[in-house]
Amino acid sequence: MQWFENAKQGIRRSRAFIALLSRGGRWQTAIVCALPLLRSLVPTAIIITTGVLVDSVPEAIANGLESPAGQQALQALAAVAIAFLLHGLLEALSMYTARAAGTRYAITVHDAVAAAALSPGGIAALEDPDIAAEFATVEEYDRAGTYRNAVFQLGQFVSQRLQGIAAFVILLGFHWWAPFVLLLGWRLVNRSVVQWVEKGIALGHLMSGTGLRRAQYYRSLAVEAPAAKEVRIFGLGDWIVDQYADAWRTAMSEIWQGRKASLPGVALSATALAAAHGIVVGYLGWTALRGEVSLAELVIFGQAVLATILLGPLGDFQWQAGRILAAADKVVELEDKLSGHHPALEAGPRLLTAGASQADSERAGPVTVRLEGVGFTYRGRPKPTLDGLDLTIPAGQSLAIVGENGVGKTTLIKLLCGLYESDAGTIEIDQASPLQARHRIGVIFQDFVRYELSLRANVGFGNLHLAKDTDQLEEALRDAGGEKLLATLPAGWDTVLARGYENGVDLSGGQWQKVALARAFTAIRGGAGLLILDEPTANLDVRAESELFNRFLEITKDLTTILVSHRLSSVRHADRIVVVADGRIVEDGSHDELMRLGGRYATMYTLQAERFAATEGRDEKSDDASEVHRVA
Amino acid sequence: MRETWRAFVFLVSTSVRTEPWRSAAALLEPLARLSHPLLAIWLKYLTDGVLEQNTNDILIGVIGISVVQPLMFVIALVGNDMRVVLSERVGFAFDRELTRLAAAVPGLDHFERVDYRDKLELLRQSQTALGGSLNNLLNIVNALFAGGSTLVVLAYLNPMLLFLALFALPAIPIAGLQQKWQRIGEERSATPSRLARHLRGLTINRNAGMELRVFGLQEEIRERFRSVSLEARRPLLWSESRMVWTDAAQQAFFAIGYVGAVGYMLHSAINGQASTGDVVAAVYICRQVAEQVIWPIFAVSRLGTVLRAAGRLLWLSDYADSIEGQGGRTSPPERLQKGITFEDVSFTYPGTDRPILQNVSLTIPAGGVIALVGENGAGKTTLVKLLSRMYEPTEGRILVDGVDLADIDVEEWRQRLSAAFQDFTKPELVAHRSVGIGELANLDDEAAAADGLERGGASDVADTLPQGLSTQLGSSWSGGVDISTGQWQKLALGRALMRDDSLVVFFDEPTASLDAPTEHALFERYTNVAKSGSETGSVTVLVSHRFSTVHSADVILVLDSGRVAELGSHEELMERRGIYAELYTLQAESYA
Repeated sequence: MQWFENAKQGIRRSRAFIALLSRGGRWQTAIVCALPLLRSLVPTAIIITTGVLVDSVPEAIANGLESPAGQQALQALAAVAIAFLLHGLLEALSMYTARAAGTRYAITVHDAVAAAALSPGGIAALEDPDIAAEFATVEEYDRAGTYRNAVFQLGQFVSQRLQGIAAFVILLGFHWWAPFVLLLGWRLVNRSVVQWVEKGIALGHLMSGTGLRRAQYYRSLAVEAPAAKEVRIFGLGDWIVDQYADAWRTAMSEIWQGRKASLPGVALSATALAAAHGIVVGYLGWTALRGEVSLAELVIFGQAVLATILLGPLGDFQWQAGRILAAADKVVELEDKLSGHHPALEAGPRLLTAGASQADSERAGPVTVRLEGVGFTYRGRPKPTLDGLDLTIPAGQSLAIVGENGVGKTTLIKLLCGLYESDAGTIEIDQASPLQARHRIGVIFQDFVRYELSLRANVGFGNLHLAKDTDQLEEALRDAGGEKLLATLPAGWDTVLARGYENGVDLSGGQWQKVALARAFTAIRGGAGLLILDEPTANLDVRAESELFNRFLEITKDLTTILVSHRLSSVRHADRIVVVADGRIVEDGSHDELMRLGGRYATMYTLQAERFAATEGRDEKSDDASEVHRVA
Repeated sequence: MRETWRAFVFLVSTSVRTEPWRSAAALLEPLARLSHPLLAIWLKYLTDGVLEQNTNDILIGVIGISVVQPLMFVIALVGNDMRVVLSERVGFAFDRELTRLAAAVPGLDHFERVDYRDKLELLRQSQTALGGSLNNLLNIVNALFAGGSTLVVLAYLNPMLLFLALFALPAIPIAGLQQKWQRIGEERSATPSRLARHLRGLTINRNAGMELRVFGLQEEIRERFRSVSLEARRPLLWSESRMVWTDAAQQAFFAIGYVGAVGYMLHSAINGQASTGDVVAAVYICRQVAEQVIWPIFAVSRLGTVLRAAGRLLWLSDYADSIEGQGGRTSPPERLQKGITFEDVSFTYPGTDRPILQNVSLTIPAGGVIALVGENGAGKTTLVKLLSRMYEPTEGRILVDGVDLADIDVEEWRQRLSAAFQDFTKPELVAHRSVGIGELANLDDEAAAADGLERGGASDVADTLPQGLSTQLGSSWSGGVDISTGQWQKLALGRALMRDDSLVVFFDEPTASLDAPTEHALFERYTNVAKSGSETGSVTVLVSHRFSTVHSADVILVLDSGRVAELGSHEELMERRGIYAELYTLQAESYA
């Protein structure tokens, strides 16, 4: 029952396509679906009118153009000309609508993928290798133009098939068995190449496997800027090329292997096809010879026989059609998968976007954060990253989190932001779950986003309600130490922060950091009561960093603040410092308390401070050094 | 035009070189295109045979249709397969060449210079596009064959029918216009398209996903994506509508020619100069002219577009050629005896006119540590790039033990360098390879990688990974895990410490994301290097905002707007009470 399964799959995929297409507009979909039908009628009409034309030719030759036969010939010729015009018009119309609907379809698809990607409240789904692979597949389809050309290609495919079917119907008029014989021949050919086509579609699926994706990854190391310096210093060029080539060949040989059409199969089906044509055309010739078939019928049936080629494999159009439907199915599949991902987090973002602003005005001010027995284990890791972590941050406190690399500081922040769901324990922000309390958080992540949008958007994204309030944005930017930046931008707040746009400007790492900080501060100005700073000064120079922390107390006055930093001189400004190790909090207190405790924090702090102290020791001979000491 | 021709030759020769047999076999498909025009002939025989009761003619028609037709079809099928595989393989050959060039060109111009970066970006995005170019090129050949053979059949039926081809001629200016409209449409759509791609990328990117969720930007970004996509679509539809209506006009014009041609054949048949079969064949073949002759005209007019990607690769290869062969062939010294000297070095990025370094002169003694200090954009990283030969000084020279660096072989020099950069790479490989690529000779030596990490005081990374150094990094790979930025930096550090015979080691902000113990261990290492430096002569170049790191360097260079502002030891600079003293004090204060 293979064919049954295939048919079921085909129907499912077609439905996915139509469903996605109609999201772009019902009317458009109806027109787009109707046009191939109309288009397939014209060539069929031409076949018939040419038959009429030819039929009148011998008599017209005998009796001249003024005879009835001659008139009929001229009329038929005019009809063919009109069909030509109609064909041109329909072609233009369908090309245009295909382009319009196709680009619209691509937007719908990407929007659907975006919505799916953004629908889970957390980011665990985005880290799932299977889902990452699905995104890669969609990207791959997109790059190949599968979505934007979908309507055109499918339209071509459908109208060609319909022409084939029309030819089939015409041949029924010759002899009931004739079209079936030809159809059989073409189906046999189709079968022998169908595998080839299927494997062509499988390309997309293979992309999702590690094979070609791995190849692409190696290639990106070579052609993308971030790795360029290391590639040169370590002489990795040839090695990368070899890795790329190996990965590509391995992946592709699998595809080629499967695609190999069996030669005997093709030869056999070609013979069968020739036989089918021989039988039908031979019989047609014989009956015509015996005068059982008129000249018009001969010409019409002859052309119809030739048009049955459109019942066979349609080459590029056919396998494009397969790809298009598979690609549509992939999107719907992705939607299903992601909406099913972590149902507990599902309601989050919608709830957030709906009533956030109203909630803000009611509940402003600093928040209380409570973590109790929180545990979290990353997928693929045997050991938990966080394990029974307890921490309560009273409203208005500034807290610094300190610990070695990889100890789970950023994980903790992600949990607080509701980006992961903890495996154990409870997390509450003002008695609400992190997802519900998201609008109370202003955050700057270590890998903050550089939006290729205006400065206004980049800062205003901290709170969309303030995006038009230039005064507020300006203050947020000033708090972040970015007032000088604003002055240097050609179009002020409307300057796009990326090269390649009109009035676009590239920012340095330090400038970007200030913009990202300003974004977090905008969230605060919009009513968020919890400020989270993950390594907020990594890209800032000495002066900017020191300026920021000089203002730290003022900025965090009415806020609960969480700061993660390895620069312990910054950490000192916090009211309270906690040290994370082995998945829990091992030290807790103010700078002075922890220094007195003489534990991990004291060790780390001393390691950093000593480097200055050591110089000071070395410098004691010089007057300047003692001055440094005095200033300090 | 010359560029197009060059790209054409390049594409074809690469194809023939990579896959001689498949290249030849791909021509089977054009051959099969003869089937269409031949059909007109078979129809003619069939008609005439029936009308004149001539069994031979009928037989020719029947055999033509039932044997030649399926045969042509199978040939086309095989040719089609050849074309696809050929496109894939040649596309890969081009991609591979692109990868090689992008990685092998010694400089960084193509990554950093604005106008070059755009071209590379286009090339980067166009993976498999060159295979597509070849595919399109073969399709053009197909079209030309079909068109040519259609004209031959027209001439065979009646040379006068060739006049019909004239009705296809407006296609030539129309094709030119259409290309212009298309280009305008694409140009107008380029910027919003790019923004749409960027926004779309954000929605599926994990890091961006975090911010979008916390700030509640999901709908905002989608809304912006939709509106900017529609904006990008408008100019495309504008050009499309002009294109399709001109096509329709061309069709209408051709319909006149068609009526004329068939009318003419009818007329000759009435005068007894043509058979009914000729008329039937004319009815059939003249219809074909619309597609078979007009389409090649459009196809050829688009040749330039088709070959654009190949042209871009030629650009990269020209650029690589212009650089390769520059510079000397001298081997670098086994060990540094004297040190490295900058003599009045100035540098301006190609394509810009603002000097980044001006008249820098200094000496780094063998075995010494030099620290570079200065604000963002002061020229610190540029100095590192000059020393690692990513760029050559615009003026002045760099001497390595008295030998001009420009005379030393780039590859050999690079083999004696090592580096950890601020914007370090995060190679998503098996962990020990992520470190091991610091010295390819020891790529799969896990112990060597562990040593490298150990030297950087970063061996604890291995302990946190589920399968130690055999763990696949990057959670999007099966069995892979994500590690924190700090852990990535530790791996970068280990990578920088894989080579033990380096003459120069760069540490460009190596500790931005590092915890205190690792930072400390690293600093201890500089001191050790400095002490053992007398044996290897290795020079350490340190770029840092962390003054605790900087002060123990032998030489501290303070750069200000590309000039040497201060140069000397920590003590000397503190005494000067200049920029360095001020910044140092600022930081030291924060710990006091």
